[in-house]
Amino acid sequence: MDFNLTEQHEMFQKEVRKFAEAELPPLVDIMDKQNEFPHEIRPKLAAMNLYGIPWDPKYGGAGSDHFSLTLAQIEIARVLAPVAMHIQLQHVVGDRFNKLATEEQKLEWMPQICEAQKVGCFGFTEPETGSNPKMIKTTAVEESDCYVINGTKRFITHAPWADVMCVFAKLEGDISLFFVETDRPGFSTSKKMDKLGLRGTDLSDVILEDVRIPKDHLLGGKGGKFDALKDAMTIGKLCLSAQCVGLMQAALEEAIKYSMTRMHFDEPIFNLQAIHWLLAEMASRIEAARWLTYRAAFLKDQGLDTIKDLAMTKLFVTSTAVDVCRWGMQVHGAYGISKEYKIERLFRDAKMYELLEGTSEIQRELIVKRLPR
Amino acid sequence: MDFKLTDEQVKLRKQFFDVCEELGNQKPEGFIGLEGSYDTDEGWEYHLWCAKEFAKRNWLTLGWPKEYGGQGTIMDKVFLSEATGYYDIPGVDIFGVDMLAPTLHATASEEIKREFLPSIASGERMWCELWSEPNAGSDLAALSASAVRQGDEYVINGQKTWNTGAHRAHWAFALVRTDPHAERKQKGITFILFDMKTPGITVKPLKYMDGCHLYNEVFLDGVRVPAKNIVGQENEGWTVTQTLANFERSSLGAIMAMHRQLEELVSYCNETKVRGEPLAKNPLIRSRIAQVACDLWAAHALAYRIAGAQSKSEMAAFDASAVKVFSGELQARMAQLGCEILGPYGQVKHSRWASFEGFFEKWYQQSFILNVAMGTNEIQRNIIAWYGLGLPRMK
Repeated sequence: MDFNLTEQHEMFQKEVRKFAEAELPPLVDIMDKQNEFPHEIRPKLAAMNLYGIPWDPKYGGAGSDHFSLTLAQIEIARVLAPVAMHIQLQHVVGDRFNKLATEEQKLEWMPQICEAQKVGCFGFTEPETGSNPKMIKTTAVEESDCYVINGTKRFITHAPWADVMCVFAKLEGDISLFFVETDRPGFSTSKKMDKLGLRGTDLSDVILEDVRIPKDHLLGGKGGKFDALKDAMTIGKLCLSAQCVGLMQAALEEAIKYSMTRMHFDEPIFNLQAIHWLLAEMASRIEAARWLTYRAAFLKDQGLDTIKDLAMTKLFVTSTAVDVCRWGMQVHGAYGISKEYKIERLFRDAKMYELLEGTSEIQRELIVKRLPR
Repeated sequence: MDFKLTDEQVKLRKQFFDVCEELGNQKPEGFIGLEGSYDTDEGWEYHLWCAKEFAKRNWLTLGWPKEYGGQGTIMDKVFLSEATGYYDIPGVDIFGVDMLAPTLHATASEEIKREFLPSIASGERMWCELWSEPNAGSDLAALSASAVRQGDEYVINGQKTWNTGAHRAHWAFALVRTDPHAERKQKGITFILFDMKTPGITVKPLKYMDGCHLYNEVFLDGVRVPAKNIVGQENEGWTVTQTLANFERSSLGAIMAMHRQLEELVSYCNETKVRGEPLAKNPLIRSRIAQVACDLWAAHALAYRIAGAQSKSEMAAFDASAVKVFSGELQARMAQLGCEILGPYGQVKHSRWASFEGFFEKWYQQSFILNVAMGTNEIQRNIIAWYGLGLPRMK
């Protein structure tokens, strides 16, 4: 057992931190205040090899591992979490190609995803389907030369400007997975949703009306794709957990900085015991969350089934992030609610993680089903 | 001990609830909480209209002495607060009716009372509080905005912050330093009233995290105020602020708002099916909602006890701190639970996708206010420790 980062991991972590601190702060207002995605960051992220971190270089990837992906997510989210979410989406979509597409499709799509020439979105959730895949209503019907897809997908990140979408649909009564170029006739999106946090990642409904796709757009053969969904969600949960760690780290740093400069009763509030307790509690929880997330990334890199472990990680880390960011706000007192300080954005972003990739209730069910008995 | 209301109280409480329900029919779309009154012109007009509706029923003077047009008791005011909280109805100016009027009754000269109480009673004049400063929040006595006497005027200079509704209010009550050389920082502070249209006042918005305009910074640059507008004695403003303990501080308005949201959340869980079963049958959700209900009734009982003690002038300062901490933290937990129950819909702002018109998305952000406003919960806990439990004062 070795709890040290490898030299490569440490170097990579430093590089990403340096990049994030240099490139992301100017984007905060664009994303959070204007709720717009700054597309000019895409080539810069691609140049840092941040889009296909664990994938084979022959498909444009960095040839690294999920642990590096985790480190990158922490460092990016520490500065601007919605950019980390954007990177997460590229990994989730690209990974479907990596695992299920033909060699030809991989060589066509994955390098474009790694270079950010193509942006992907992931279409599972529907208006009447939250966490239960059996309830999905989107259908695919096979015709002689194509599949015809009909349905509505909800809460689709990147949808307003994505180039390709992974779509889960029922084909012959079972769940199959397709990829659909978003410029195909019949593909449309609703108005962008305005939301609490992680703003600028652009969320909307996707409406699929008689969208015709070639037969080779069926990924991994007919049916049985609930497992593909669960696998995709493990990457999503690993990234979300890492983002929470980055967010919490930022909250702690902000709280310390504020408490050391804010004078009350003739001294910095950092000297007050009530503030000590909050900061100590925040720091302790962050360490627990960080090591649980590192462990999940390690298990993922071992190729093990991580469904239970990532459900536990997501459950613990996301609720911890809400607590930690709230305590960070409390340290700021009334200034915590002001747009002048970062902490209010961290507080709003933190809550989002409890609501995405399966609610906390669903995580608990996944855990209990897999407990030894 | 008797937890029952009298028949008359039951009747009056019902009347308050009936009227508030009716006023709720005119509520502008998307109006939520305190910021509903101050953020938009439409919300502010509604606030003023509700104030007039209450005034014509003499409900803004509940608990006042009869010689100033008062009627009823503090308990009656508590019942009105329950009704306005439950239906989220504005109109009772938290500064004029809830804070300034009791302060004037307790400490002001007859002349000041006669001049300023009638417009509070009629709902015509709305107030804001100019107390906190960038370097004087929890440590309020460190305030530095100065007022220098020149003839029959004070000339005020300084900066105030976190001034709720200062961009809408007609008048302000402020704390200013009139003796910078006083031995203790609590000395040398004066409580003073002035028109917000007085030359030299600049109000700038401090946007809340959800983008709403509720708070402000107020810059006072050579503001000339008649010297007769002070409340209490010059340099004795700190003593005036201590009469805050006599305000209606049961938090019952906020508690009733939570009752309403709990009812709506329960309806949502009964009506919304996940995997073919109503959410209400999910044991985890049932358990968490039941826990919130327990906490809410505990808060309600605590608040009633405080209201009862207050109506007999027996309330201690730490009583109000206890209910503020308990109900404020409960509200935050409840807002978090509401978002979680809605799942991904809990993130969406007021729009066609949003459940409860985006209420919980907004409430998640607003729920933080109670834990930092009017003394952070850390300060409240100190008050409970010092005055309630007799623990030693740290500093």
